[in-house]
Amino acid sequence: MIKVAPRMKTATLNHNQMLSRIGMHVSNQIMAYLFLLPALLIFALVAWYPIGRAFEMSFQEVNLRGESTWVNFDNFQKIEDDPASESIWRNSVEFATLSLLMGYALPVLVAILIREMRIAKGFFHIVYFLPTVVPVSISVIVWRFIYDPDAGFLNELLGIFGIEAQRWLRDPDLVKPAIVLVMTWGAFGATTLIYLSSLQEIATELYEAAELDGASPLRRIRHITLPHLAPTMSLLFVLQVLAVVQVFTEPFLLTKGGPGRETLTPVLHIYNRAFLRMDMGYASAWSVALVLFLMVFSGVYQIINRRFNANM
Amino acid sequence: MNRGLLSDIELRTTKGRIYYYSAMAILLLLALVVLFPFVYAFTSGLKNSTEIFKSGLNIFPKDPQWENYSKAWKKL
Repeated sequence: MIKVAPRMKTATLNHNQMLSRIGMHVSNQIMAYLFLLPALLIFALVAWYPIGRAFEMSFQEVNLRGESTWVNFDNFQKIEDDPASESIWRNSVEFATLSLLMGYALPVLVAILIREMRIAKGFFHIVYFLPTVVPVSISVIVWRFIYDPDAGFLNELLGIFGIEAQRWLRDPDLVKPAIVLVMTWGAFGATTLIYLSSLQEIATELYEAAELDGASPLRRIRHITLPHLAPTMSLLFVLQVLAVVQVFTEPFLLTKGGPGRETLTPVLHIYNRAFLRMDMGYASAWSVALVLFLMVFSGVYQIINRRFNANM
Repeated sequence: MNRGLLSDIELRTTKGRIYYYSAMAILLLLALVVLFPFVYAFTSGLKNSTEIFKSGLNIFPKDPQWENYSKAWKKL
């Protein structure tokens, strides 16, 4: 006898049975929400409430005793008048550009190469993922030794080739690439892992067919691998920009925003204003402005991306 | 069949081998760069306080201070 599929069975239920089933469904959901409640409460307390409060404070003047008065858009006006604002936005753009140049294609390349290895795949997985496991605050200590202007490893290494010692973290031209290198080193392992898992999905028959048609390995990458990775690459592009614009730890621990304002990032500025100058209202206004900016960026990127894909 | 971009047959040709081993060379070179801070952190842990600020490419100290690690471990 043919087994009746469960979905067929529900279709033959009468009206009352249906109602009782829906009731069961709702009570099941209530149970589910009860189980979720502790997590939701904690989440509301440590995430949603601060977010809402920051939004509120961005329209307020908050003094040290925690008393707040409404000042409408004064804080946002202060952002515009702040001489640091212009360099902060410029720094963000420069950081994002540099990080894309140095670290956007790298994980794609590494993932494709690792996928190709017949031996020691696991070794390369571990090696390239290792920096991701180390907390940024720890790795920054090592990088500070490497960048040290007097006895740092990098200067000594370049000295062998006759290049004079550079002040990596003090020179306005070098400090951004130096910090982006630390960021890339710390983050590209996770991205490589995402690309690697995406590469696993490619049917090897495609490569086989391409090979039989006489396509060289580079053309196989160009016409099979890269098109397959394109959606992932497009998503990781946004995620990388969002992450880089919000960078805090590296500039905070390596340069404190210096030299001058060369490495002052939005979040570092927010931290300085909120916890050094105790200007919570202004810092909140900056946070809100940053969130709005990043939302607009992601939105515009989505629209452009969709247009572009539709025209393909 | 388990294969990547390159097939097993291609790997037996000279051209395929060039692709494969240059890929491996790139990966090994990059691995060196990626691993370096770890190695540097480890060998710096073997230096004494004057040696750590001494100039010169002294990756591995002349007189490794292994007791640095046992000291750090005991202070945990």
